[in-house]
Amino acid sequence: MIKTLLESTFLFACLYMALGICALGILIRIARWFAADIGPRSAVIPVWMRVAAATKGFVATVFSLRFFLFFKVLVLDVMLQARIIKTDLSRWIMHIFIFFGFMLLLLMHALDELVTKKVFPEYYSTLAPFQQLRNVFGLMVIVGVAMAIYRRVRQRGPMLITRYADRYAVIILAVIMISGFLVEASKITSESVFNRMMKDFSSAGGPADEDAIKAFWSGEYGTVFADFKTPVTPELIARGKQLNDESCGSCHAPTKTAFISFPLARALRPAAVPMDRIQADVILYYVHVLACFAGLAYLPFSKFFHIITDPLTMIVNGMSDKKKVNQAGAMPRRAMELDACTNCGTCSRYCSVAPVFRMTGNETILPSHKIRTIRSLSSGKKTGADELRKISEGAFICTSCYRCTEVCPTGINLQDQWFASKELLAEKGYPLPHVWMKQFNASEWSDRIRAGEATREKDVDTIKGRYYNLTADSDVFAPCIQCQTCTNVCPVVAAQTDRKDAVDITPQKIMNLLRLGLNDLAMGSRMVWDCTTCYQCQEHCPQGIQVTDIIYELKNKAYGHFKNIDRTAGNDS
Amino acid sequence: MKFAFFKGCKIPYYLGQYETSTRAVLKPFGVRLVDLEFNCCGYPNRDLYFESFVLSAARNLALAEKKKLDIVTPCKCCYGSLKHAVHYLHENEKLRRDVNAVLAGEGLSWKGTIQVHHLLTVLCDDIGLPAIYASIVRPLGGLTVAAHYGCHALRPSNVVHFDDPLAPSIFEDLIAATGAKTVDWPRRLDCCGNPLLGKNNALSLSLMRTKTSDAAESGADCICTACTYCQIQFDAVQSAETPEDQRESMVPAILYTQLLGLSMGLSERSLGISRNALSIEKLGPAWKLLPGAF
Amino acid sequence: MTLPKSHNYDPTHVFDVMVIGSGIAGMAASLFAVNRKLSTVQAGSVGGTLFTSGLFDLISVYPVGEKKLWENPWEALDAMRRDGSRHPYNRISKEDIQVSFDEMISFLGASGMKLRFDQNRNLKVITSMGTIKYTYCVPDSMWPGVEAYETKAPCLIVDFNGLKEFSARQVATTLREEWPALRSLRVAFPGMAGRDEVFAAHLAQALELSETRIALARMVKPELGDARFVGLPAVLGIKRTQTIIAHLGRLLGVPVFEIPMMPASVPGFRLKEIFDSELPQKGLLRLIDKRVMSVNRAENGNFLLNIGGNNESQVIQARSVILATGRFMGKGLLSDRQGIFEPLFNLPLHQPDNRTAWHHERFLHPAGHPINSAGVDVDDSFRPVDAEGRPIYDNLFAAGTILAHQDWMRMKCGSGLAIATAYAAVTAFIENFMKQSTRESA
Repeated sequence: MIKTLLESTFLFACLYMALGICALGILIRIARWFAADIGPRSAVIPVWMRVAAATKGFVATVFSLRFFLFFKVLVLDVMLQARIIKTDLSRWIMHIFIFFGFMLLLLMHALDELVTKKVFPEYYSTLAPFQQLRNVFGLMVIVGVAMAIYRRVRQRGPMLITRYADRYAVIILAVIMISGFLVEASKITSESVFNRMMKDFSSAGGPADEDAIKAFWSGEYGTVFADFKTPVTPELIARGKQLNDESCGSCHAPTKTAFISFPLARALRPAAVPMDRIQADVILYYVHVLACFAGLAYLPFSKFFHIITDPLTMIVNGMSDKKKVNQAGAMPRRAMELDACTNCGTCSRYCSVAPVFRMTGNETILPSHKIRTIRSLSSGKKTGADELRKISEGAFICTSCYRCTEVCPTGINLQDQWFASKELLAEKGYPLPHVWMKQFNASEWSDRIRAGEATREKDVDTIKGRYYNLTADSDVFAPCIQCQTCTNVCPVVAAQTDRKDAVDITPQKIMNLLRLGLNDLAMGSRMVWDCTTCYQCQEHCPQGIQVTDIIYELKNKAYGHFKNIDRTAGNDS
Repeated sequence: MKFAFFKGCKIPYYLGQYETSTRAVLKPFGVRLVDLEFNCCGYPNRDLYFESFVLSAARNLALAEKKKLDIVTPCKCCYGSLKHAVHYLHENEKLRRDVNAVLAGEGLSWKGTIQVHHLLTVLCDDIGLPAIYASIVRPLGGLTVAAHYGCHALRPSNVVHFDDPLAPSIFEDLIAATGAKTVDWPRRLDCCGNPLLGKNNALSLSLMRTKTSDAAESGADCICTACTYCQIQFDAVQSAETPEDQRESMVPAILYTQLLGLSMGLSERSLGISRNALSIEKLGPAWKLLPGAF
Repeated sequence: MTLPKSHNYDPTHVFDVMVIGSGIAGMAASLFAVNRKLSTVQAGSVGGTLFTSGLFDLISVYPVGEKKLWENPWEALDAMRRDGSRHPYNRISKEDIQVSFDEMISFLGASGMKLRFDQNRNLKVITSMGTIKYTYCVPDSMWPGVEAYETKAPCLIVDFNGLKEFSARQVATTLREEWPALRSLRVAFPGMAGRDEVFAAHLAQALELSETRIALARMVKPELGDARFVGLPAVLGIKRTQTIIAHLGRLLGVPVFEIPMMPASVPGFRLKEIFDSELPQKGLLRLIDKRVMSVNRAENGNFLLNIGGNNESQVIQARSVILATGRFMGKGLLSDRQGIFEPLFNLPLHQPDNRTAWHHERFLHPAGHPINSAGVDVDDSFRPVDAEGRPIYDNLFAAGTILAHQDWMRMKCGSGLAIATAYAAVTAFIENFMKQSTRESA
């Protein structure tokens, strides 16, 4: 048996290369956090300021003497992953299996020379309980991975996006685990490994003893011999057992205790001899180890980066005051959080405005999609106007209810991310509709509608209004006698705060515009977009006209028209 | 009495004390509040999409229907939104069909079997003023309060069925139960301006200040609200947006559940008055009325 | 008996009176009914109260064709009686008309709107057009204007930039010959400088704050000159009119008065505000913004009224109905190509024989148009009658402008008609039913 990779300079070199790439990758990712422009005024906050603020914040947190809180976060959130169990017990089980299974394998098995041997000097990988434990941990990971796959297949849909990174993560884990079991299984069946061990360790006497051990090992321990002619008798086996106990037992627990690998070995029986001939165990070993190294090297670029970012995020957010945000320090934190997101979709599952997504189909309403758009917005990639419009709509439909932040298993401060992105979008020229409607006046908007008339065919249905059409139904607004009661009770008309911004078309004038068929003009008026929806006009109208409902309908129709118009037309860009 | 408790989107992060004080105040009257996995009531979305607004509200109604529970909400915008949805769903068959088609995807459906209540009507009509009077241990005589009705629970009256839209009295009746005095202020039925926050801040604040000037001129010590958004407007927003030289003329606001809880002798921990941004002068330290206030 | 104060009510309750209509007639009928401890419910839309000017007319023009103005309204009533006019006033004694006015004035006075009148004469009020209107009762806030006009004292009329339909200069110019000491002044309303258009109700609300009044007085005082009165458009507050007038009077040192404006005017808001807040407190159950959709009759003769709403219609049972639904604008009367009709009870109407006879050819014919005096015919108990003069239902009454044989706009008798006929209807109900009740009592 090849003991450890320490004997192979090639593998050794691969290990260090993988470690190097991993370390370098981590540094690059961390450095990028300070360069990402996430949030308002990102252009004016230079990188050094962000580094300084982040360092200060980090140091302040670490030395804050709030040990109790720190340990609480460390134990409950990081180690026991209590945040997952808040929302989904089966996900918690899945993740605990994968996490603890893998970590314990890493410590106990991969780093056995460095860790296990130091703690248990009598350690040997084939001894009990290590052999069982290895299989237990491996099984945990496989069960966890299976649960993960099942979950992603079962809950496929806009709420749970599965991308390349998620698939890769699952595949690499599966490859490592499965190859690991195959290594063990092939070692169990391997005749050449047996012979090597016999040469090095056996104190067997002559061929008869050899046969006895062989008989025992092939019967009880799963070794497959190509050419074993000696008849197997109970006495032979008893003799073999005795010899085994003398020379092998100190290092070998019964292979049956490798309760996954052993049955696997049994299943491989038919192929055992050809496998042995090509030294399948070595090949599989290389596969297993190189897969681990590949995972290690690729770690900072893969989903597994969350092993580092998630604990960091949980600690930073768990210990800081979420409502006090220092913009300079917040930016790297936000970038780090983006790298901590594992696409689990919990945020979308609990999103308060998910029904709006169901009705409109705009998936940028959902938090799990918003996180991705923030990532692409901050990476400096050029985002088209259409895309920005969609993103802006999604961002402003969010009611900042905080639920996604509460349920996020990774502890990301999503609420802060949304605030930052809303401000950023506003800075970029994509604020709330009520704000961007102010850039033109009513007749300018009306011109734009007329200009866009030809291209409007598809939207006719939305524009027409499938359920109510107050603004096109003369029975609704014809009774208006222009008594101006609505205008007189309107607090917005009373308050006109800025001459430039003045309510240009008062409520009774809007009714008049409808009567004249000039709905276009009404849609872009300040009145419609500054209406505070207090319903005083509707309540007081002597003719029972639904003034506020009409204004709402104008808003809806205007939005339907204008959201697809290049709103920067007329300026440059 | 058991209700599904509809908190709305703003209370958890922005006004936690409204939830704690509401629970604390309703408990002694034997009212059980059940939490369901509600979503947003739809009110903020009505500006953009009519259908999404109705669907959002309808989903909440359907969730409560499934559990055979009426809904009570402490927020007036949520109340108005849910009542509007009920109104439209009853009235428009096509809408009802389409909304139920989407709800069916989650195994839900709206049939119109449950009612939507606001906290104030539950207190006044279901619990009843006599029971409330009987629970007062510390009448707040000496405190003058301007009752702010808000808009969305009061109007349009044919949809919301809350109180007389032109001369409502439910809020003054409830405040009188705490022993506090109410004023008749000319602008009491006007809008607080919050719907415009973030859309036109100058206008939003102007509406708010019109209310507070009027309350001050009418001799009120504070404004009393029973809506999440109204309270945020008069409390956090007024505090954050009033410049240093005008802070003298601010009129603080308090939630009705906090006022009632005070007079019922409930603990500060549940009422959360210290979590309000502005404090009421007459309610000195430990929320006891200052001597001489009588 | 007491009625529930909240909007909920006991559905099995049988009301004494259901008033349909929320204009002056409807509100007056409700007032008289609750004052007499009748259990009363009222339904109607927003109502025409908003369109009132604040003045209460009794009568000032008769006959309409001659445009004859009367200094003493009671003498006009005598003349109508002598001429055998079928005006509804002739079915009510002058004493009763006076009583009805007194009761309404006393209610309004107790509610903060003091009205002044001079027993036997119409008062002359200047309008926002500069014309002179004859009316019977004038709100306290307009009273100094009556004095000022009578004495032709030096007076300053102030108007506000952007307030359409009120021009001080027009008032002064129109009255220049008979009132040379009348001057005009235009100022920018405090806090609203630079606006193209301002609205009366907003000015009224702003004046409810003392700082606005102080700023306004500061602008006007230097221009007072020898004026002994200051006249302002009728925007002096909705709920605090008396405070505002007293304060402005102190600041300016002279009495301040309001000048009535075009509808919808602030005094109309005030009146509505009083009706809305005071009557429910007296025990009236008001079904706001609910229209009566249809009416049936129970076996015992009581009316069953379906009060509308989409998913919530209620049925109210009442022993009598007072129909005060007004004319065409309030949909008390409807019209089609064939004629006019009354939509709720399908009452037969006094009207021209055919459509072509509705109007004279001249639009501004001095006698008015036949259609204007069409409406519901009633007996002396104000019950709608059929062609033979028999009441159609013994427990249905009608009041207000829905009645036939009156042209309230040209006769200047609108509020008097509403108040007096409402009074007559309520007392007729009491006469005919409460005193000899055989129906189930509540």
